[in-house]
Amino acid sequence: MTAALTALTLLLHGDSVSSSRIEVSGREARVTFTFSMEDLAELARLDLDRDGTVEPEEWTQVLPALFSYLGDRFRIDGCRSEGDPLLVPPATTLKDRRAPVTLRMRYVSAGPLDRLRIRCDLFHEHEGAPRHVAEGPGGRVMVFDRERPEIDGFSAAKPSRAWMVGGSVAAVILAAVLLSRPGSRAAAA
Amino acid sequence: MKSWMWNAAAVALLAALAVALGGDGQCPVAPYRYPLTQRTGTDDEIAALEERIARSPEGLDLAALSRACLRQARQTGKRRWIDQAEAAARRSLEILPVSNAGALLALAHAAQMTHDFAGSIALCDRVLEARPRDAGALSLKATAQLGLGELDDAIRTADALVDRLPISEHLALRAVVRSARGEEREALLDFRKALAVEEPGDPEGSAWLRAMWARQALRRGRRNEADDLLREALRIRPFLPLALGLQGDLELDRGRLDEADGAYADAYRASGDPVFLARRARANPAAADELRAAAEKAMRESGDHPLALARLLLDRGTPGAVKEALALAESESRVRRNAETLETLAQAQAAVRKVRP
Repeated sequence: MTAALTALTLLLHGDSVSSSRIEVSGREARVTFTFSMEDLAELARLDLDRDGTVEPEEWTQVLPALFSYLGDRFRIDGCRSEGDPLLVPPATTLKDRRAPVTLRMRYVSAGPLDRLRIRCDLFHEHEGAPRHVAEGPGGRVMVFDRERPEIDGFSAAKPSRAWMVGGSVAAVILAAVLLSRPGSRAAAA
Repeated sequence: MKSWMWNAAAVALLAALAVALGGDGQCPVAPYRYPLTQRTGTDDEIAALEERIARSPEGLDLAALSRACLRQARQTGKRRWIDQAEAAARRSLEILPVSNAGALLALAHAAQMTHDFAGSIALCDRVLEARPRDAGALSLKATAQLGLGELDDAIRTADALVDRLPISEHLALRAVVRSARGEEREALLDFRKALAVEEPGDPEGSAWLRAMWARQALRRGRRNEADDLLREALRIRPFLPLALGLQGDLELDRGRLDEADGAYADAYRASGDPVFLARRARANPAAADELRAAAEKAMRESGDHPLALARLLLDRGTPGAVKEALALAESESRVRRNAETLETLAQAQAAVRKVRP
């Protein structure tokens, strides 16, 4: 019965939804992904001992395969990717299909990362309309889907910091201009 | 001096009692009294039924498979399970065309999951012709009538359901119908009764009861009560999209935009429902355009959210968007005359008058 009631408040969707948070520092972008257990379970056999729970040891064994998939399906132009094996998900039961699972990847570039060109086709092999919501520096959000798998010019700079730097430079120039005026110097003296 | 000491001791005792009774993190409004358990093994059940059906296809087994697929649809949010449930139910009816209420109700349930409420009612009526007091048919019918905004019919069916079997689920359904009719006091009474007779074994239903109760509290401005109920709902079922979305509404109401954005993001991830993307736009002004555009695209693709799309277009406010919103709301009001539809229709009519030169 409850399922029928749930239908009133929420429609069922066949679409995979994942998300990521991107942090850029120098030549490296750290991308922290969040997936549903359901989606990851369709990528690889996670519960190796078939006891219904994916233990940290089992995660450690399947992480390389998952990192390889992520490296192929979420690419940042000009970067090589590698998974972060230190972030191992906790024990998660397979029955909790909506449980979020967090994985982290590092994308390293030869030069500084000012603007990111990202290609994301995560879960495009699944049915429906898979979507990925990426959040960049400064709260910027980009939504990838089948029709929009690539986004160019995702700014790597934090807008607030850019404004702060710009504002500081402008303040210094303004102060220098004011101080260089003869009247100002006399007043300061 | 002595009386001062007695008073101090009494205050200390009361404080200790308050901590002991309320300080264990339990929800004071509607505590869940049972141990939190894992779900039942729907995967194993489906595999066993499929194996049995492959050996010898029986109508009743196919009906049971259909119900198991619907449970899986609810757990995963994946639509393909509804298709499989429908296929199994239809096959069941081919093999066993009479006295097969299970298959008919599975079809009615599947229809409801895709918001075909009229189709669901027609299927329920076929069951009720032969079995007028069938609780499953009555509960599905009341829900569908509620979905269509036929509130007088819905309350009659819900009353019949509670008379037939006054269990927690049925009382919760009547509470929601009463709330939709604006009978707040009666709804609250039913929510409390539903809690009083709550039993273990349906954590999803227990979480849902609290989430719907919280929705009512939130609408009436009882934020602390709503917060308390939502915390308990999410303790029982941590990824229940309905509760996560309401948590977002609550935080937005409190002006805590980051928390609201986070809750909507979790709700979207857990459900895939683009309505939550649209709600994120309100909580995250920096990314509002991108989120609204993505929500609109997803809603247009699925075609399942005419009202939500209408509201999104009203938010945009351009003459073309407002005109389209009005057309959507008018079309929806022809099939669903509930409060939500009529409110959106009124907003769209007002917006059209405003943009008209």
